Amino acid sequence: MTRVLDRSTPTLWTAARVGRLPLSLGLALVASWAPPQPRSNDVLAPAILVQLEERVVAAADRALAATVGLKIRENRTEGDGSGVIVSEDGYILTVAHNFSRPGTRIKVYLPDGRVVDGVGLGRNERGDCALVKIDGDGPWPYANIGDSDALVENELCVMTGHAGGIVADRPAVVRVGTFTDRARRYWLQTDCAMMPGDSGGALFDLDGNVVGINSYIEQRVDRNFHVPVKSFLDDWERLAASENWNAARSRSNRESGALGLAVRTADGGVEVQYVFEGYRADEAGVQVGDLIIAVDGRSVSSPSSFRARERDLRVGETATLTIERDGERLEIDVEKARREAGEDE
Amino acid sequence: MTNTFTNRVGRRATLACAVLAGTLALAQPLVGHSVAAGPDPVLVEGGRQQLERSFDVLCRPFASSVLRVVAEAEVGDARLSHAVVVGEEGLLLAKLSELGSDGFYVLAPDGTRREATILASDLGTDLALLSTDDAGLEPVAFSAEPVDWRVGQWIAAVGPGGDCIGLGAVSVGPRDLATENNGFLGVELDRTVPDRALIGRVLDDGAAISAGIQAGDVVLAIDGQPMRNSESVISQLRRTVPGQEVDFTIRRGEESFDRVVRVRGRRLDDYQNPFQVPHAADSVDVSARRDGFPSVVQNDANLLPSECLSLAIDSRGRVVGLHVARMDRPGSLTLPTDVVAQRLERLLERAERSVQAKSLPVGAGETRDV
Repeated sequence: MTRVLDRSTPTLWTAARVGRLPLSLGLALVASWAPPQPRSNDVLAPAILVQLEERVVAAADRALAATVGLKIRENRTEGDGSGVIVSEDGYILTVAHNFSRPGTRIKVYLPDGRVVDGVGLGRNERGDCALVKIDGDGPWPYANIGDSDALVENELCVMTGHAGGIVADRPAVVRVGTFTDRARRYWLQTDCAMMPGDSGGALFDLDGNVVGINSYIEQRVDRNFHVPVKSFLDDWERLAASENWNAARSRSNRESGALGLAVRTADGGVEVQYVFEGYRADEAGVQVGDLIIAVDGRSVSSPSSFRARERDLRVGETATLTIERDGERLEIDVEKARREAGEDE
Repeated sequence: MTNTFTNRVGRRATLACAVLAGTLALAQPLVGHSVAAGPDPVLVEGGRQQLERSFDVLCRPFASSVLRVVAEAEVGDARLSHAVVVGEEGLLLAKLSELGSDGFYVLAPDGTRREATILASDLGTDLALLSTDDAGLEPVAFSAEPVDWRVGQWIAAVGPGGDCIGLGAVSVGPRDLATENNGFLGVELDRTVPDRALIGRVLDDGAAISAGIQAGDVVLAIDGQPMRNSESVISQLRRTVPGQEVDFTIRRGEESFDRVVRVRGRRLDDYQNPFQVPHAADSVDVSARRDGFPSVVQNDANLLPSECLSLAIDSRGRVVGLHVARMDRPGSLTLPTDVVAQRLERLLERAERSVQAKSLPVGAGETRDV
């Protein structure tokens, strides 16, 4: 029987279980972006829709043939990511955040169902580029490398990855979207929605050539970011020689515990639905039914904006919650909890 | 070996670049009916919005076939589900698990508010067969012939008024999806009490509170099965799916009584792990019932839970099924037309039997095959 995710206990926070190293959270750029405006009000002729679709289907076919799942066990934790084979002898492009050390042994899940051994080679952490090599010379199925510089706005593209992690009897998951922008002159932005597990999967042009590698997302479904494939070509020698460079600052500060609240949508803010016993919000006296209007003076309008504010806090930092309780306005200081030892990540 | 490979990749990239450049030079801006497509169209000048507008044309013929189902109690967002007209005499299909137990009405394409009742339901596919006034409604036919699904092909979602409310491409072909997200009662059990199933707290927007279950109640039995402790209640609930009616035998003080509860699904807001800030990917609203389907096609349409069910059509305007759930950030799920046709036939038979019997016992007309 097909299982969506291997969740042995019922959980909602799937990212923690699926990916030891989930897609990193994009926090920048939120203010500077406006949705792309259509430059044409005309509709496409039905014949053109069908013609485009044929190209998309053909590209998806080629994309799936080269997309692999990567199962990585490091530091006693296991995580699933994706990759794409780009040579007959088994070089795989993936992202640096899928593994942390050159030499890491990796299980490679091929599209035909075979599981083979591979090894992590070089990684450029800041650029989120990494290379994996399948043991043995193949021949392995592969996709050609395309030209990420040649992408034009609103070009259709196909994206593949093991969304949610590797699932038995389910091939990689295909997305179809458009190339929308270049972020900070480096990352490729598309509206191909991804989630943890897609990391290291690939973005293809409609010829089925690899143009990008899935790296991170922002909250909006149409904001997905991919490493341009050119970055891999520029640093190929270093990646193939198992160099490990550009190690970024530790991300542990951001990815630690929360305030210990469950909230839900309400008029004028978010309503506290549950206070987890013994956590900081509880100790600070936050109560079920409180209406949270702002965090550190920045207003919250939805559970997701509350979580975004929460995510911005660092361990040990104190947040001031502006709360409405029984018609009165209160300010409550809550310290962000430290993650307990032995937790995920 | 590394050098050879670098050269090979370099050559390939140059070649691909040349091919792509050629394509772009040939591609005309794809605007309007008059422009002949270049040999290799890859650009849509107006992006996704223009694509969706193009599908509007294919959705229009179904303008009188998709309705809104709205909650009687208008608190917050009252839109529950969409319903698709499937038969003469005002027969509709809606998403069972979204209907709740507090009453609903349907909003017809002409803006009229109409009463609707549930005739029968199918837990396997989360479909509810409703009946309403049929004035101005046009039924959609679902073919029993399986679709030859191709990964990457487009599926548009037709919303009320015949608008394209989402455009997806097939991400994964038909497969069965086992139940991972079970029914949710909306209570906390007091696990410190070892010898009975004592309700410690009732969440204020769960199924239990609607059914009048209170803190301090003891669950004696579920669907006639005796419950010895919290664990047995939990394992029994794990066998339910959101939308299912479950019969609880409750003891409160000296008296005991039965309550039928339509269990709901859990959403992210219901509980959060205090140790883990939810991932940005978890900020998408997903359907309470999003698995446990006998056969579904996964696609990347960006639909709200309340936009399911909507009608699914392909790039030639043919009906290919029903969008039945938002699954996760990148995915929605579509019941293929042959599955809809088969289930609809069963629902109609069951509704007819119920009408003949004239009396509708609790849970009548519910089927489940897992």
